[in-house]
Amino acid sequence: MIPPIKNLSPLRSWIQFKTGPLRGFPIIPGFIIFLFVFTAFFGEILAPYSATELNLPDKFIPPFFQANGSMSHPLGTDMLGRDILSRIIVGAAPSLIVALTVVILGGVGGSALGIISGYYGGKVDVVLMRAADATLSFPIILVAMLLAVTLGPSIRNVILAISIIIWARYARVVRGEVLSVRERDFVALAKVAGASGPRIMFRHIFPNVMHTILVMITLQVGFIIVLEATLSFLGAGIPPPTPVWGSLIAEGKMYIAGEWWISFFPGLSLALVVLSFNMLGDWLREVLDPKLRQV
Amino acid sequence: MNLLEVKDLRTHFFTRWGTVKAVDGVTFSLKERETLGIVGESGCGKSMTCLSLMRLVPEPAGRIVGGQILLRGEDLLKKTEKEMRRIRGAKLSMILQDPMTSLNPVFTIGDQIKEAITIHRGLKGRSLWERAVEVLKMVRISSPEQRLRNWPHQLSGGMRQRVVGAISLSCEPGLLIADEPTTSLDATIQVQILHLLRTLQEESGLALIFVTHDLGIVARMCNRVAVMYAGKIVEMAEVRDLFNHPAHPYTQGLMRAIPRIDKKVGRLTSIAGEPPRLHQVPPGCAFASRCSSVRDYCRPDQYPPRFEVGRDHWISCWKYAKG
Amino acid sequence: MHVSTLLEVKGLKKYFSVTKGVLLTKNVGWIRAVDGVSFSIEEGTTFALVGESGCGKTTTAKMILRLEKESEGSILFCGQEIGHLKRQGLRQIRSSVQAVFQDPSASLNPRMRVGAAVAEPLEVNRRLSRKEIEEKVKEVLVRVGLNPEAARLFPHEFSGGQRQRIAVARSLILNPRLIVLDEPVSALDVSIQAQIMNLLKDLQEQFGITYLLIAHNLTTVRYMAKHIGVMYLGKLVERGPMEQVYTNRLHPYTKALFSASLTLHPDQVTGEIELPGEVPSSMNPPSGCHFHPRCSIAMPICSKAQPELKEVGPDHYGACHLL
Repeated sequence: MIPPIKNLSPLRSWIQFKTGPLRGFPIIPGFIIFLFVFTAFFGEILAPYSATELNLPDKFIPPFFQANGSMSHPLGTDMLGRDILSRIIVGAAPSLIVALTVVILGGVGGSALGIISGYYGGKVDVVLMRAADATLSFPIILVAMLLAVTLGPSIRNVILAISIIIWARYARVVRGEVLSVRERDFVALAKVAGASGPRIMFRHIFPNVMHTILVMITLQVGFIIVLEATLSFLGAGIPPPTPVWGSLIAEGKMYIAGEWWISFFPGLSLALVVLSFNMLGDWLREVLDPKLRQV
Repeated sequence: MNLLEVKDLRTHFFTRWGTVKAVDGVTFSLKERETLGIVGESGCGKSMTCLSLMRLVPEPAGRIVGGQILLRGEDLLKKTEKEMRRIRGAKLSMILQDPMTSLNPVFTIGDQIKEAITIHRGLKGRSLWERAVEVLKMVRISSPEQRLRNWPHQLSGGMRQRVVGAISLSCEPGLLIADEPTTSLDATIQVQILHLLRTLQEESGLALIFVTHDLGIVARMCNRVAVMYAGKIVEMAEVRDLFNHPAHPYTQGLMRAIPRIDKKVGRLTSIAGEPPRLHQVPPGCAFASRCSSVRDYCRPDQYPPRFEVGRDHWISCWKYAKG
Repeated sequence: MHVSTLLEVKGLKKYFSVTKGVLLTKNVGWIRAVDGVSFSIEEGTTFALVGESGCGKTTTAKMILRLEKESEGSILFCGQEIGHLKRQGLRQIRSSVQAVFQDPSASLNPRMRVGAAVAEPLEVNRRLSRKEIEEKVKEVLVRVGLNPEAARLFPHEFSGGQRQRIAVARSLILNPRLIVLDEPVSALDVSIQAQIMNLLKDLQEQFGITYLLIAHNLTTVRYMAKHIGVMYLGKLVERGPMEQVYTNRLHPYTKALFSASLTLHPDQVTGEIELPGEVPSSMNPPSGCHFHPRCSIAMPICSKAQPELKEVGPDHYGACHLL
């Protein structure tokens, strides 16, 4: 068997590891994600100022590189004098919490249903997939807003709303993978050995679809964060005074022409984090592809 | 002049685990109307030799790094890609193992046959269609006019392989390379295809290079045989000589390891160990670690040169070194 | 010496339903994959089921392994009907009937260590301690010729031949009485095939294991089997002791199949019987004897009535009107 050759394009090579099991790991995106998580954990301590206290005398200070700006408020202040940098730092945590919880509820839950559906087939499969189809056909924003309006905006309801929308995607994709894994010889041989359905699903099917789930999660985290930001932007997400990035962007939308930094820096942070997750997901997909693992 | 002369052909693959010497100094020749068998197990380099002859080595991972391929005196390694395209199909052609993937599932049989003919013969319209029917008749497919309108999935494996044969022979190349063409077919279908190849050879004077791991096919179809191991030819002989007096320990080992249909074998003698990983081939004889005749004179640092052991029969083995 | 029948199959049938439509499906036909197969296997011997693609041998094996539910017929293991067993009864049978499949790469979970894969049948069926299981795994790995340290590694770190040994080890760990071997060596290199076949024969001799061997390669079958059954389009056309069937081939299909297995010497080329046409579809098998369209000695009755298996020699049966 002739081993495959790996060809990294020159642009990618200088921001990635070249050899070893972490080959191709996107360093800068990885660092950004690390920064994001770190900030989410230690936000309260890191923020130079309070994120919520009003400070009207200091309103509309531009970022440090513009005239009238200063390093004491490097990213400027908003219409109520609050330090943008501090708000961004403190706002990282809610986004991360929502993303992780949705991933666990919707992602893991959806994947589990997908495995059950794909493995057993038959009526179970039909029922679960119809349910998934129904869910997938809901317009996301509308549903989230509906839930927000009926249940009242809160972090819990946002998580609920997004999970309800997300699970079907995982279920569908994982089910597809399971359909091909369950036909493989080692699954038949496990049955011949007397293994039960649950055992096969856990020990044989799941480890072989895990890479798909992992990649989906990393690629979807960005989407979930944006979704939550959109909801907050529309007022149906996490309510003020929590400085979630979506709300920060929304607050600044009236001042885009003049005090552009109020929306810009939260927006930039959002874009960077989402992009980083996507790049991480791409890398994970390549690294975890079982076909490329063989020597 | 021989139809084909291959001299010291080397094809290497450059991977992150090292350089894989898939074809490492292969030399042989082929006369008109002759059938040469290339035998070996997986990883011995037989398929890559065929791809090298056609100059279809996958790049940039692999490259032909040395040697000569003289087709009627012309060195194919010196041709440009444009020139090679005119040669492939018209002067030499190839059929592969898996008929499922050799045909494009979204085109009809007729389209695929006509494509080959159009490229090299430039026929159009009615005469193109007639030639396509003729070519299907040549491979003994019944109702060829209807078949031209069929899709690949409507045909069985044996039929598909005939169509593939038709496509490769449509422009009457003098040399056909067949890389395990019957391995994925049922035994009774294999008989049909082998008979067909024999008939085509007789009818059109085709020279054939038949690559296989099956010594039974070799006994049936070939005039001369080259046995390959780890990228090199270790033994080459006329077919009778090979079966009557196999000289290289690997060939002898293979013959002892194969069960026979015509006699009840008491016990097969298997060859110990496994074929080598191609990126870690030792400089000396690659078979030494598995060889039951290995001795002190099997130098680990030098590959054994060729030794004549009979008329037109040579091997690369230290056992036959003089002095 | 008392010879006991370990496995008996009577009138086994498996029809797959062919449906049209997506939500509201309608049955439009039946694929008669297995159409009334009967045979029995003596304990401690190897029974080979041979035939080409579509003949139903793999489906038969799956029914015996309880991976498919039979449409009709009975399967008796040690005299006990196992067709309708569920749960507890099925568990017991499972520990006496194990399997080795064709593709060594697909037979092992790539994400599971070898030790865990081999231990699985034991974990599922017996209550043993961690230590005891580890011991058994090591013991069985050594028995198939592997280093017991292999338990810690993953399948991709082994070659094809070694992976097949691991698969054999897994099938042995419960000390089964019957092992179904579905093309156990066809995906391996020729020199490795001999190793595995020898291993299987040694294990049979040592432990008295019974094998049901599914194979398309008659040389493998001749080396390993004591009895043979030849299948065509879901039916057994001939059945009997291996040597008897080899020397005295009754059915025309058997003759063609054996002649398609090529001899290993150019001078021993016997005229191969070339069967015309293709294997017909199992959905619309030819009337009467399924083989009659391709049979050179067909008579009018052959297209009207299906022949039954008749005893022609001691324990040697053929299904042909001309017997």
